[in-house]
This record gives sequence, C-alpha cells and structure tokens, in this order.
Amino acid sequence: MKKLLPLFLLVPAAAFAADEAHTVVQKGRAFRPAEVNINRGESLTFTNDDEFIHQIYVQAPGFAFDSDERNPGQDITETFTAPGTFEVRCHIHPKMKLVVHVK
Amino acid sequence: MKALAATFFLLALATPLWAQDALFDDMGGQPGINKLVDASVDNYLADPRIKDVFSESNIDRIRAELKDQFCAVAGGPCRYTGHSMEATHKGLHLTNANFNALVEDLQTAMDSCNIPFATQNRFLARLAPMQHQVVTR
Repeated sequence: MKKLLPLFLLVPAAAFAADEAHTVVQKGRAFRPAEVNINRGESLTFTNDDEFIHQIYVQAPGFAFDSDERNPGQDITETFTAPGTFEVRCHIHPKMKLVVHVK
Repeated sequence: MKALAATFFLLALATPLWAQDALFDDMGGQPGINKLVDASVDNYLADPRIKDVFSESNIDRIRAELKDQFCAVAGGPCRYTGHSMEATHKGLHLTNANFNALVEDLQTAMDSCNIPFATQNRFLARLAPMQHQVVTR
C-alpha cells in the first residue's frame, strides 16, 4: 500500500503536465514554448498574453489553417488532424514560429 | 417639382457613401497614394530612429494596410478595415520622438513624390489627431 500511494499521487500531477503541454502562450511576439509534442487529433489552445494582436496559421501539404486575428486576452484553439511536424506562424509578426510535432 | 425631387433622390442614391474629396485627387489618386506609402515605408525602415519599431512586423502587410488607410484619410474610395490605431500601436510603447521621426519621414516621402506643400499640410492635418492614439509613453 505504501508503494501504491506515491503512484496515486503522481496521477493528478501527470494530468496537469499534459494539460499544460496543450497550451501555448503568445507573449513578447513569441510562442512559449517554441516547440511542442502532441498526438494526432489533439488540440492546442493559443492564449494571447501579449500587448499585440496575433493570429496563427499553418501552410503545409495535407494540413493547413489560417485563423482570425485575436486581441490581447483572447484564446484560439486549433486541432491538429494530421501527423507530422508543422510550423505555426503569425501573419502579423513573421518572426514568430512554433514547431508542433504531431505523432 | 416632383420630377426635380426624384432627380435629386436618384443622384443621392448614385453618390457613393465615401464622397471622394479633392485631397485624394490632389495626392495623385490611388497611384499617388501607393507611391507615397512605398516611399514612406522605405524611409521608416532606413531611419535609425524608428527602424527597430518595424523589426518584428510583416512589412508587406503594413504597406497594404497603409495604402488603404491613407486612401481613406485622403477621402478616396477606400475603406480601412485594419485595427484601431490604439490596438496596433499599444505594445510598441512609442514616444513623441518616434512619432515626430515618422512624420518627418512622411514629409520627406511627400517631397520625393512631388506632392505640393499645401497638399502635404492638408494631409498631415488629417493624420495629426492620431498622435495621441499612437504615442503611449
């Protein structure tokens, strides 16, 4: 029982870590983190915690999206439906780059 | 009388909402505005006082939005659909010195585009109210 207890305590921590990994923050005209790993069919929520308006897009063979612009404080969620490695960019700030690895 | 009223009514319907004014024509219409925006942006990017402000921005997008905005401000047949001046400049923390440099570069561009001095002043007078929306520190 003593060995089971630490494992039991780890479950909520692992769930929290997984939830964190699915949120990307836009701040200082950069994505944070700059690289994430997710599974096919999972979503990323982008939170605009910046002083600037942002949007996101992916232009890749077989998978693409191009979002509306979001004001500071607003979120947008995108589902990655195809496996592969994708660059998420912002039309307004071309230096912003997020690499998403979808298994 | 009824025929006259009907004529006025039809004329009113035919008149575009934007009511193009003389300033737009005096600045050379849309080709003149486009040339001015390109010259202005070139000046901003070459000006050590403000070039860093644009270092993270999509310059092609800025040129396109400025062309719509300048056209609309000059009374041309355009509608500026970009964001407010407050929203687009908020995070840049621009000073009066930055704003003045921008205006100087715009004036230099208007000179290079052979826009008469009086016309320059009329255009600058329409842009002046944006100062307090752009300068935030």
